[in-house]
Amino acid sequence: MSMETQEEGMGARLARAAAVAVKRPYFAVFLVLGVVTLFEINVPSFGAYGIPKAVQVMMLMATAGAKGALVALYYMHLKYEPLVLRYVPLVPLGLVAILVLTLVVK
Amino acid sequence: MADEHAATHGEHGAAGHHGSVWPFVLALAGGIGFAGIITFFPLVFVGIALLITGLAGWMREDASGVKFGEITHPTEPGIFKFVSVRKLGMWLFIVSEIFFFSAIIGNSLALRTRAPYWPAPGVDSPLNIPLTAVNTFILITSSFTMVQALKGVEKGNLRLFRGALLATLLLGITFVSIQVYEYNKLFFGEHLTPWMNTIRPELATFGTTFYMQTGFHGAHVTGGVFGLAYLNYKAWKKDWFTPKSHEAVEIVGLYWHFVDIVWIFLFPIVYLI
Repeated sequence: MSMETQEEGMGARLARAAAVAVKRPYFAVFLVLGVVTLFEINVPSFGAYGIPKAVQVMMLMATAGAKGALVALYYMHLKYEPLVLRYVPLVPLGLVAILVLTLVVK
Repeated sequence: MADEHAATHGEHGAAGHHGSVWPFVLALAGGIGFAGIITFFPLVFVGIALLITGLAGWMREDASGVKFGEITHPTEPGIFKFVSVRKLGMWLFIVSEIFFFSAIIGNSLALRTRAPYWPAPGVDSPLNIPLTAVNTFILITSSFTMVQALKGVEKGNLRLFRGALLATLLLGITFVSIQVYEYNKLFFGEHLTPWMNTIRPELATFGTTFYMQTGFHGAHVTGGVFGLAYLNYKAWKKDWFTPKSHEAVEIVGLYWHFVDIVWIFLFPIVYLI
């Protein structure tokens, strides 16, 4: 591939990235993070309404996972990065799940 | 392959990608220092000496005007062709950090499942949930201001860039300050120590895991605050960061957001479960 063609390809990619940049929903993500955190703070009191501890734990892990994904996708821009870079942080997560489960279940 | 490599790097790559040995020296310092802790303790001092040398060398190089390059060039050949090599480096560092924090959190969960007693949040836990919730909002807000700073520099809006970057730094300092205040209250007021004490021996395992998880996170936030202080300093230099050359802002931002994500998981695990 010649240098010129590469530069053109890169220019097109950057133009697309710039177009996407206009639509990045930073404030919406911030609001969602705040509201979900407000919900999380109240989860420990759910026991008074008969919701079991295991369900509370699952709720909190689900909300934490959702919040983490939002930050990674929108604030760390993984949503707009080449696909190959999105896999980089995903690779260790499977290994991490095995590690944590082994430590806790054993 | 060699031709393609040369073509994709051009004059930019020669000065930017392979220009500094100091990050390698710092990595070596960390490796030797930590290896010394578990093998032969005097090696720790070799690590510290290398760390000081590496930092001094890097700062000297920085003072001479070496900059992070423009981000408008392709980088390495192969599957990461359109990924900046510095950004890829930060992502690989983040991967190693995911392992680090997973080991700490997993270890704490394992200890918890075997502990005879564990305080319940909102019942008999010594932890201050409302105060830490405020701290959580502070960290989330700092992530928002960080992306605003990036948006500002991308669009050439210096006022937004500098203001948001300063806000991020101040929020980071506030987070660490509140954590120090919380530690002080817990350690001296609630007798929650990282080791077993005679006043509240039942909190020994809880205290160890609490300080280990939040302490390492706090140390990472403190490191991020230093990075943000450096960015703030550079942000006021004329034409240092421009819409075409601001990769340092994005890379420090990646680290800062990662620290935020770690807290997003630590807060419910340590305080709410």
